[in-house]
Amino acid sequence: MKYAYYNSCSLRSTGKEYNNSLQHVFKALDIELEEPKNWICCGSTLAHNASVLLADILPLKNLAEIDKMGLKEVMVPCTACYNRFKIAQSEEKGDLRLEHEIEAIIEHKFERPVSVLHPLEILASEENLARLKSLVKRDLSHLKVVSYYGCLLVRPHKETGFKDNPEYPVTMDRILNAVGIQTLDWSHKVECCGGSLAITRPDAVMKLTSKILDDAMAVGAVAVAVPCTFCQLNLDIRQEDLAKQGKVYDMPVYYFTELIALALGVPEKDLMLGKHFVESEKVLARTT
Amino acid sequence: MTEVTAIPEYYLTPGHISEFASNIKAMHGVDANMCFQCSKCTSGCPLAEFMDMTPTQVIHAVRLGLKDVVLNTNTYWLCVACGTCTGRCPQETGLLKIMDALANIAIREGITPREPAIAEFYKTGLSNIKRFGMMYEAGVAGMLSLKTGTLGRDMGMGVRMLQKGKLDLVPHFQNSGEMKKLFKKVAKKEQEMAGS
Repeated sequence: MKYAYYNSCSLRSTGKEYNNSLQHVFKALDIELEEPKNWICCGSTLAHNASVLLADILPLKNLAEIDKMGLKEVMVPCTACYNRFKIAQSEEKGDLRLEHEIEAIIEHKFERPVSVLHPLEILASEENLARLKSLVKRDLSHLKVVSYYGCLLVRPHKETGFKDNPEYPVTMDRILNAVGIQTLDWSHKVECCGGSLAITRPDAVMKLTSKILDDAMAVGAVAVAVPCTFCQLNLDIRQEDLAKQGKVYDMPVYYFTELIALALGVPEKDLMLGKHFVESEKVLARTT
Repeated sequence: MTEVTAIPEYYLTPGHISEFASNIKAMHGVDANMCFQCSKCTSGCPLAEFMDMTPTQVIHAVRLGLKDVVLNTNTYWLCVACGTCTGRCPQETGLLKIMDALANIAIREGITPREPAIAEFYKTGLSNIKRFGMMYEAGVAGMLSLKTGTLGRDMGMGVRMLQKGKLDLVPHFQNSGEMKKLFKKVAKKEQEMAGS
């Protein structure tokens, strides 16, 4: 089994630990990942504000490169990228004139679309869930986490087509449960954290993140699991600022792939947990 | 006590379609006239409390053709494209695309943004990916802080991220020649479309 792997801007900087843990998980499952050589930034949060045409062109150019590699499925772990790839595909297909213009600019004609998949969608197949279950080496059943999906993965559902309920998704919960981690019901699964305003409107972002963390605390979670580099950074780094305002959470924010890797027995030293701002290693130690 | 200025009342007559709404439909394929003002978009919008005009009001103003009023709000700059409005809209109006359309028009027409830092962030970020072919976060953050005069405020966060090795100080080039070519082709196409 092999997927093209769009290992994009954020996975090489703010989300290095996401890339690292993801590689461990897919290696354990014996699934090969191949990075396209000629990738470029997909323009995610930036391009659509200035030019909707550019916002479609950049992801589709990347998909054209993947098509040329002879691969028909690409895994896109960054949810901002995933969102833009899916929107660009649906806009191209929805408008014949646009389709023609886009194909002329990227100098490529798709015979059939490249299938864009988030790692959650790949891992949630019955086959992969069963394999994950059989590979568990470490008991993490004492961990109670909330699965935070954020916004870009699930919405707008008509475009992203993420294979789950957009208002109350359970994909990440099912995967974490398969490796023995408990997940809790809570109300902020898909509330936006305000990620793209992180450096321009910290006031708004702190308000949104504190609401999410409040609800996680209220249901008794010891940690948050996320599938997105923006969410991870935002929920993690802002806790220090919130603490200064008297709101102390001390709630580690893990990539879901880090939790899976830990359950599969990847040693802590091989992961990059030290890159988290809220200390994330102490909740792993069994307390009961 | 501040004087309360009278709020003008606006009415839509049946069948009325504003030129502004028509232009947005032609350019961006999204029809504001589908909206029946249920306000589901606003009640789900995470940023609504920070906005000059709620999403529901924006779409109504677009239908009325109040272009200057709409373009001078901070609403479309604060939109983070989380898709809650669009995902929940019973009329499938596509407010998300209307917000994009407003930003596109405002930039093209040189409207002074009501959220200068956010507008500058997008502009700086975009010229950054054009130059390098991929995002150079440290460069964008630094440049933005200098331009908006928030260097003091942002320094702490930058230092924390550098300490964790989450930012690279040196930019990497990633297929940047191709990126520049695409920017050029898109600009040319957009000029043609605006002229037609």
